[in-house]
Amino acid sequence: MLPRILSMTVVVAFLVGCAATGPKPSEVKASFPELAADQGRIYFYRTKSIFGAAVTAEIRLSGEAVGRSTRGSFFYADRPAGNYEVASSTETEKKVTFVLEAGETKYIRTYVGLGLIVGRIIPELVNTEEAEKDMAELAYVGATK
Amino acid sequence: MVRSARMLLIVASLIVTLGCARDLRREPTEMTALDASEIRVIRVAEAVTVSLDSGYSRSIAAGSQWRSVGQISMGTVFKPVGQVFSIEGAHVHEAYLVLQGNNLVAFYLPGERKVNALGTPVVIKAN
Repeated sequence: MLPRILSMTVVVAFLVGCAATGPKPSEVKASFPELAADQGRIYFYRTKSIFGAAVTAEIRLSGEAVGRSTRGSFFYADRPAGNYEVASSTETEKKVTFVLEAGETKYIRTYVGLGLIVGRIIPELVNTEEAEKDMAELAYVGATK
Repeated sequence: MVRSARMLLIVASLIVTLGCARDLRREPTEMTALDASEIRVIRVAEAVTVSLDSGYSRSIAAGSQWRSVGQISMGTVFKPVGQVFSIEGAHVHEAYLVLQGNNLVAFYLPGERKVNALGTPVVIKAN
């Protein structure tokens, strides 16, 4: 009986997590500053999928913490053109490497993959059209830096 | 109880196996940018699926367009037009195609300036 209750508690804890709150892209994007000529913009987002909803983790852009992967949220970071690496570690680390060109916008979606204990936050590159559609109902939470 | 423990062990092994993909083999390379007069755009006529040395596979969609951007020792590098393309192993890497004639021979990883060579070239039908 006890193992069953324990298992159910773990499953519920894994699934339950509040979605982020904040303005939608349509409400805030106009207020975002224009890109400097030598910079590109990277959006980070996570959909409202309830799988692993309670799992959150810090997102690092080439080693620098820029925000957290939380359910239903997005934020962005402007950076000079160059090569970048996005990582988010939970029990294991999965990275994305990409090039950012001046004036370019890249989209990184994070999602929760199966893990041994708490699940893993996995980042992936997403096409503009798909990302804009995904992000339409998400909450802007702002970057750490 | 023993059965439950065995089940747990199987699930745990599965998760560990799924979560630990092999990393892609990558070698440093130098890309020389093409002159404006050398740049061309190709359109893939038929979808192809490429098996990677990480164990993953990746499809190149029919209708996708690719612009030549540079040259490396293995061939000409083509960047996707209006799309982002990536390949996956233990990690995810943005990737461009490296073509020798009609053969896809490697993926160029612009974020690392490295190349992932294919064991067997894949014919790309493009126009």
